[in-house]
Amino acid sequence: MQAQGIPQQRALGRAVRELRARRGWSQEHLADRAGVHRNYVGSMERGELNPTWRTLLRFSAGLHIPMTELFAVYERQLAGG
Amino acid sequence: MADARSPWAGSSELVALGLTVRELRELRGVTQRAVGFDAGVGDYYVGGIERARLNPTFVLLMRVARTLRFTPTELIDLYERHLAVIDPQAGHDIPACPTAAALAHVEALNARWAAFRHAANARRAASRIRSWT
Repeated sequence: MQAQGIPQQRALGRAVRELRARRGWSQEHLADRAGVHRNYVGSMERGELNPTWRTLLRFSAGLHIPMTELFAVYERQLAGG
Repeated sequence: MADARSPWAGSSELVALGLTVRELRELRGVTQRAVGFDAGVGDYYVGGIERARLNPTFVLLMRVARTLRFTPTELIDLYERHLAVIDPQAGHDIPACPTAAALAHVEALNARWAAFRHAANARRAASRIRSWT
């Protein structure tokens, strides 16, 4: 699928992984908190998914991290990767 | 006009996002159609986002921001500011259905936009008549 090659998706995946690691949570725990399937977290961290705005908000709520912080990490990951 | 409509249409988060996209676009003074074309979506799509009817994907939003030459951080800062005005309670809690306040806001937004378009059309019509006579 072309999804693998979209840099924005890969950067978002790395940002979510970084923030999850900061919390020290498993993918399963984040999935429970965000209200998504655990496969969804894994796919998103690998940059295979392009979440909608509402889904992204669920992740930020699940991580209990403001969107501004999520976007700051995303921008850093996009520049670095 | 496309009928595509997200189940989340009119929710505070989508209203705030719509306002953000519209404000950024108007700052650059470009049309919805031009933004849609550059971002690779149909011309109804940007309007759908601005009217809080669509729940766009992340990559599309980033493309829209890049098209308008704004950084993702600038987009989210403006979004948070709009959200704080529309729904101060929003925080991290995503409501399951559109709130009455959000729906009222959409109505006001649509009315303002319709008035703006009406004025623009009238101006255009006036200039056309002048050029003929």
